[in-house]
Amino acid sequence: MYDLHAGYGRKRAVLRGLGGAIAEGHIYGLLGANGSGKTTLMKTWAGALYPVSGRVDVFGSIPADRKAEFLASTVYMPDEMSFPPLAVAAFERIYGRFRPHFSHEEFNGYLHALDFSFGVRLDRLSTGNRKKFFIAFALACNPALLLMDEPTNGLDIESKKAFRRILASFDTTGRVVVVSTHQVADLNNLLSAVVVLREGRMVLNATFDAIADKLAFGGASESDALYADGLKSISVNSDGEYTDVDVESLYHAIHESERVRAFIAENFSGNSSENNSVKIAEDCAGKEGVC
Amino acid sequence: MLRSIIYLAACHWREHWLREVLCLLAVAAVTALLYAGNLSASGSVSAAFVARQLGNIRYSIVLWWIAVTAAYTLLTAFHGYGDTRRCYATLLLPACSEAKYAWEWLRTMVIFPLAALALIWGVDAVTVRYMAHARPILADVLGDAFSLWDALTATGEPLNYIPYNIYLAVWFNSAAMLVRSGLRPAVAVVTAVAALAVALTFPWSTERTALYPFVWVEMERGYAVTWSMPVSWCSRMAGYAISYVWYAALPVAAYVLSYLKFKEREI
Repeated sequence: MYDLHAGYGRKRAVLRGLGGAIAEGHIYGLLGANGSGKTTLMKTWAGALYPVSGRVDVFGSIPADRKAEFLASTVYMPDEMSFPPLAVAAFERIYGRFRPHFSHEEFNGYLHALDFSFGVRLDRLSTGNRKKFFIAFALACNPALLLMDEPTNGLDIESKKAFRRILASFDTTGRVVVVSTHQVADLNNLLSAVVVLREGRMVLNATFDAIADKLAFGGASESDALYADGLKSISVNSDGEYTDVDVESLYHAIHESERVRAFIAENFSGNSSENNSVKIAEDCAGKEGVC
Repeated sequence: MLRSIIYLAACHWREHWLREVLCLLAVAAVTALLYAGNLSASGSVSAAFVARQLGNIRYSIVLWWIAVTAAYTLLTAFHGYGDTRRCYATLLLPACSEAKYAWEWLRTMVIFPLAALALIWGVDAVTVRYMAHARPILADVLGDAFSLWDALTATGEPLNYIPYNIYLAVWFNSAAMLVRSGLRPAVAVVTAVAALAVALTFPWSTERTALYPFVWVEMERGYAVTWSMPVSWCSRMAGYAISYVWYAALPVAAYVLSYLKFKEREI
């Protein structure tokens, strides 16, 4: 992305000057408060929404062009879904053939793993079963870019567990999976990178390796902590020891602490700003992934 | 592209086959009612009157076919293309925009109108056969009546040599495609009204002064009696040619605009 502005009409800009690249081979968590622009960003990447200004490049394609090849390699899973009055097999037969890498075996495997209720017409499914169905379909399409908007909303505890298991086993080589969620705990130990949006701007865009390189996540409050909420703390990783990234704490820290935001702005080059978006656009030229 | 169109057709048929069948049955039913309602009172009048009446009904039925085609396009074109909740929106289906637009055009301007026309034809044939069977005296004159085909392919000023009913069907289809392509509701309503106004203000006439865009034609009893050019440097033939280009350009422009609007449609 380079200086991306997007929204719903020129007067309702939601994303303001986003820049940066996300790298293939990762499962990204797309985090942000309501109205921060998560869905807008996903729609822009999916080609559903045109940027007001700026540029988006996904695996060498401009999403807004909606070329068949690009659409075939991208799946966008919306938060709310309605289905046509079709049986599972009919939907698979009709829509699966648009997808060059669709796998019938994987689709059935995912449905069984998610404990999907077969035998009910798709338009009569419950919210949770709709989610399960489309999660299975989306993964079975084997897209290069998979965008999932609140996939765990409506799933019961067992299904969330199954979803985590399935996504963890999904081969991300040469692919990017982006999962937008408010329920960070649902995706613990699953994400390998994170993008945090705040009021239409990208506050953080980094892999967990990069985060663990700069930040240390502790259990108790430390005197030199950048952020502490009484139970957990985040401090500068000065001794070079790696700790597991606590996404939930990091998210809260970013939203609550000006000090954390300032530290991130200074130390993570993948974030948006007037200056580094140019640099990042140059960096991502010629690279595969979402720029 | 052809393969994409076939896939889109399969999607559409599996999802909407019941609606399509009901629409076509409704067309056939209304057509049958139009015949029944207008011919029921003609039992005691002359065969020539019945033939003339049948001709008038057929003309009305062709207008009904145009109205149905336009309404069908207005209600169904690009339906669900911009709905993200529809899993997933047709706009994001892996097929090129040209294929999606071509499929919508084929469906609304070719497949449905032809299917509706075939049913209308069938109802017409059954009606005529029934009438001839019930009143053998009509059998001779029914063949002389203004046929459905005549009503469909009738030509006249200003679109001389071009069937104006078919032209109207194309014009309304193009306008309805534009209305449904993703215009804002207010703009869409204005466009629909403007399309109707344009059709109504076309100088369709065999009895009054008719106007090509670039040639004035004075009509008298269905015949053009005088021609005059609004500009002296343009020959009459050139005026005709420009006029035909103008009339062709109207629906073509509407189609082009609707395609461009469809391409930039957002969800």
